[in-house]
Amino acid sequence: MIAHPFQYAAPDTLDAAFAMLAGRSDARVLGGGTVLVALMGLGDVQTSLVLDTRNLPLSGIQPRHDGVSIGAAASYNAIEGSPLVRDTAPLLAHVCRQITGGRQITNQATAGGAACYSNPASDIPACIVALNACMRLGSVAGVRAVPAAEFFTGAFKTDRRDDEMLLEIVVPASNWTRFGYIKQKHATSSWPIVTAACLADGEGNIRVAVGGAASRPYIVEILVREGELPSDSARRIGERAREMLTEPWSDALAPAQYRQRIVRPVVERAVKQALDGQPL
Amino acid sequence: MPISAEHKARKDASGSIPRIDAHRYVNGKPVYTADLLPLGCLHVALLRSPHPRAHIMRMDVTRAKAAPDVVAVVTATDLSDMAPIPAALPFRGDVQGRGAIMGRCLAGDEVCYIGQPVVAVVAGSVHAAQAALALIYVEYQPCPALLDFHEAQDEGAVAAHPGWTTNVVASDEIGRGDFDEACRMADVVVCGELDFAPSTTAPMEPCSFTGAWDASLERVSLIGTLQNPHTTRWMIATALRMPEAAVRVVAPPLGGSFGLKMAGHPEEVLVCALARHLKRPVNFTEERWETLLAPCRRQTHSFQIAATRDGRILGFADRFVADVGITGPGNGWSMPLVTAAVFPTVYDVEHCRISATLVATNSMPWQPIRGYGKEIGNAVMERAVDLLAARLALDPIALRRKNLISADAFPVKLASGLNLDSGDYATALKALIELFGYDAWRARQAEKKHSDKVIGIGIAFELTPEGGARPGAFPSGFETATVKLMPGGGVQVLVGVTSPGSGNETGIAQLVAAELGVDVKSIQVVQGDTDVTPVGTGHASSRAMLYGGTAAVLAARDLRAKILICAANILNRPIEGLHIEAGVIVDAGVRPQALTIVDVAHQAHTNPIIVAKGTELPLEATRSFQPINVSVVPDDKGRIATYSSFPYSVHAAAIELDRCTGSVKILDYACVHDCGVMINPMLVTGQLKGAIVMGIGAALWEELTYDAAGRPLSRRFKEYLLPRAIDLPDIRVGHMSTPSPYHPLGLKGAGESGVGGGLAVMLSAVADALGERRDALTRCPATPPTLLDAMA
Amino acid sequence: MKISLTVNGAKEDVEVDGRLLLAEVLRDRLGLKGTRIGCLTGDCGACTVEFNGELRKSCLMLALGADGEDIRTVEAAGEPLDTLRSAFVACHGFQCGYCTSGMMMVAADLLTRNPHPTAEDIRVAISGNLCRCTGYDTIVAAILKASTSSGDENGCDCRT
Repeated sequence: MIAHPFQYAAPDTLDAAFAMLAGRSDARVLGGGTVLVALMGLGDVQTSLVLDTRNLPLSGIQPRHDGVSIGAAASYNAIEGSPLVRDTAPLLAHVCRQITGGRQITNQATAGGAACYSNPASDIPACIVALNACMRLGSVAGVRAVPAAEFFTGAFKTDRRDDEMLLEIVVPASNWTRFGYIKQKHATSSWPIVTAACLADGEGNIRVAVGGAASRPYIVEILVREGELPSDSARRIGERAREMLTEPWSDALAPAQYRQRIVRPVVERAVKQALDGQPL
Repeated sequence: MPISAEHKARKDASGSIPRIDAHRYVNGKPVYTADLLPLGCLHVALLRSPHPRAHIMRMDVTRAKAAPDVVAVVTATDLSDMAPIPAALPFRGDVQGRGAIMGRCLAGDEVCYIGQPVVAVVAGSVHAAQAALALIYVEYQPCPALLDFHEAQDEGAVAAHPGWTTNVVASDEIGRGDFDEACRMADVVVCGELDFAPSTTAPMEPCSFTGAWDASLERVSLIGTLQNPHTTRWMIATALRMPEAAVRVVAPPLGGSFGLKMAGHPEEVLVCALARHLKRPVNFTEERWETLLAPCRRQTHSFQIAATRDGRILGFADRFVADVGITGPGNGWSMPLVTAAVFPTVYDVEHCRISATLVATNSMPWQPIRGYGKEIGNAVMERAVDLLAARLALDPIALRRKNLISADAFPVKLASGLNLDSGDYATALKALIELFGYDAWRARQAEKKHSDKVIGIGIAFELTPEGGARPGAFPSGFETATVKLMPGGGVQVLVGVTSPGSGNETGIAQLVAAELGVDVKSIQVVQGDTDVTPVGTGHASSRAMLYGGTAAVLAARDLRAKILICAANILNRPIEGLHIEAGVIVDAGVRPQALTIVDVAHQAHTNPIIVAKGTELPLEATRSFQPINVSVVPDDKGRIATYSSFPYSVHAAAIELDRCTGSVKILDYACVHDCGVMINPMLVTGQLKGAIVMGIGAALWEELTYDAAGRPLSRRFKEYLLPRAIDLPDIRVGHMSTPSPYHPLGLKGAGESGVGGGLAVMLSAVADALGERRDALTRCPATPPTLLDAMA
Repeated sequence: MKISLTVNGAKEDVEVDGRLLLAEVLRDRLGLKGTRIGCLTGDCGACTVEFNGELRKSCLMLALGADGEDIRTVEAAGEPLDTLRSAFVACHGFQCGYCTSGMMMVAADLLTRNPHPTAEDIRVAISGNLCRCTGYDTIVAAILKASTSSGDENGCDCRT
């Protein structure tokens, strides 16, 4: 059970929330709770203040002139069910749909929370890096925007300062027309070992974000002149992904060497999915 | 909860009727130990050793004692007037240098495994108890620990157990014929290795124990997740230096046990000691990470199989070492001895040589697990047969068929002396091939031979000795039931067996209903209360129906005789013509009587001098059942045979192996199973499928992992991977029945069958998928990283 | 700290320690033991409840975070839970029963959204719930049966 007492607050304005976080480093922001509450129960996390976002205006999914804004506290189910997301970022809708843990988890857990947790063995980081999303963080000092690729700084580490909270993930409008997503894991119970989120525009441009293989997501891109697409691009991108993996991640389910070996086929399959539209 | 109205009493007890106690589960009633905490119950949190071996130099608990809501902080010193907890199964054999088991609830001046309880905090809430742990100061001085069991027998190895001078816990050599001679006669001798990583039972309900002290009666009581209440009672009485009669142990229905909840968890005793000391009820409930601490199956096998060119197996040998950790009061450490006893399973192999060594290391004591070592023996045997088939370029089914013990050969002894009762392995195999569609799967496999995702097909037999009755175990080898006709006319059955949730209360009720000629709904089965139920083992080794049910049948027959004497007295009719049908006394050849057994019960108790003449009240009978197909007097080879019945099964599976990632998807699974007579086929099939899935998990995904210092990394079900619904296909099951000639009802027992088969067939299918690299599968579980290594 | 919940239609005011999980409040403060605790990390699903009409794992929710909300547990009467109860009994959809409350809550939610699921739909729906006893076949059969029957308790093809 949760052993250590903590203060609990559920403010209903962002300013009140920012004020509670200001000047302290030991507070935790509660999104869905599927990560934080479990860690508190295990004793891995002890905190003096849990700041619950349940009353804050952070669950909305709104159009933006340059894309779609996903509130930090929007649940996976809300994201997956949003026509806006399905239109603008079908990759994200797909990823949310196949989050493990049953509907109980996808009702409660949030993409924003997953992003802030930055667990290499998770779906969201690579997905939003692939989408070139923008993370908007708020504090008493104002709002700060960080590109997703810079937001994830390492395993369980982000660019978020202690006194900041994630407000929204903004996914820009794009020319991507196809996507592929491979989540490689041992079995349903397992966390993701390596993920590959691929976007293609049908004109030879391909962008892949690799998750789980390193301590943070990384990008492999092919941007070609219009019409020229090498026939073995999937394989080449896979190989490039492997070359770029200089410090593979290791955990209780799979050692670094395993991730190194599977990153090429996983990436290749995601690219093929995007290019062919065929599931593998 | 309405259940089907079709419950007429029948002569034949068998039938797939629904569970008679179902309503409690589907309505979410309070059922399990943690649902039944008394008002004012205190809660325990345990401070556990972070070191595998260390001296405890100093402890300071003053801050913890002063923490909010803390009632007591207890160390070994506070428990020093307790006796050590006795062993559920004493050591056998002559091993020099072996000392006492770790029989203390809390470590004294040294710790000998990571996770060993050192301090118990008792508080008004579990949160307060856990919070206070952080305030306890323990100064450890780490000392050399034995972590690698391969070093346990080296010269100069650290003795893992305090006070021992050896690391050998037990060993066994089993042989028949001359294996070396078999090798000389053979055309091929194939060698292999299988290295098993530790796994665990992981029932959905963690262990929970509530101790209470009755000050006026001076009795202690325990309510808990317990498979063996009488054994636990004896352990508590011994450790607390109390008469057994002053201890009551109650086992509510369990949320799964699978061996984990067998007697010997020190916390069973600890909560009683705390309750007696504090004069208040005290509960300890494990959190999942604590339930996942319980390891077993950490062992390495090196086997050889010798055969002629045309596939006649002449000899089999297996040498293995098992790391059983520190030995506590539980009996889990002995499972590798059972592994050794199952060879050569279903095959007719004359020359066998098995060598088993069980060694101690500074790690958690083993807890028993479903299969109890038999599943490992079966997996090794099947692996050897598969490797032989590959070497000889013979179809694995043809090779097996050629070597199966034939149906008319029974009874047949295993190398260990266990006496196989009956079976028809060849017919089971034939039925399985058809059920599974073996030829069609081979064709599909051929089509996908060159793809990235290849198909592997596995075949495996499982021989599952049941009814274990080991001398020295407390208690051993018999089960008892009392059947009562209550004064008000209902029937109550008290049995010494308990249930993991398998539905044995329903099966036992069916048997008794058939014997007495009453509706199964009029029967209440009571289990798991040492003040009420007869001394028994509880549940283990599938004995609930096999022994407990049989004892209930014998008692029911005696009771029926008494009832009929009373009925004859009431009706003034000869007893020979009377029988009971649907609760009514029927007099053959005479017009229907209006006399029911409810009437008989009432009249016997209110007018005994006339009605009970010729019999003795009360209207109840107690009988015990002991198996006959056991032998506890050593034979000329010095062996005893302590399993009485031998259900078996044969399994087939198709998997898809992704050659790029090593991951495995299960495409199809079929099994043909024979446990002799089945009382409730629905319950049997349910157990079988659950056991199969446990075997699958153990083969492919379930592994307890540790860091380099021996600290457990498997703290939740994201690290310890149990199969989920979308990992599995529908499992197709066929039954056949070769009754046991040694059992009055022909039963062989069900409950463990499936674990060994599931484990063995998955390894077989994966190896088949590896093709030319099949020899490289030397590790279990065959996780994706393991399989990628094998393919490299 | 005081919270107000509506549980199975009844308004409850409960004094809670801030550390309490929703699962603990249901079990220990309100005596509703049907919501079981198997892992405390949201992996096993034995603690599944309905929270404002949505499935949740109650071991992952702080009690304080449920203030003012509407909870339904396995003890709630009504459909499709009642039909599911009969089906689980008829089809031997449980053995030890520890996962059963959670399985039935998930099944009730599924049948409300998709009255005619396939076996595959059912397996996906229960993929967040663990069972160690049955191997899942009879659970799937029970939910299928509940989706096709209306209280018929007799017989289930899956049983042997």
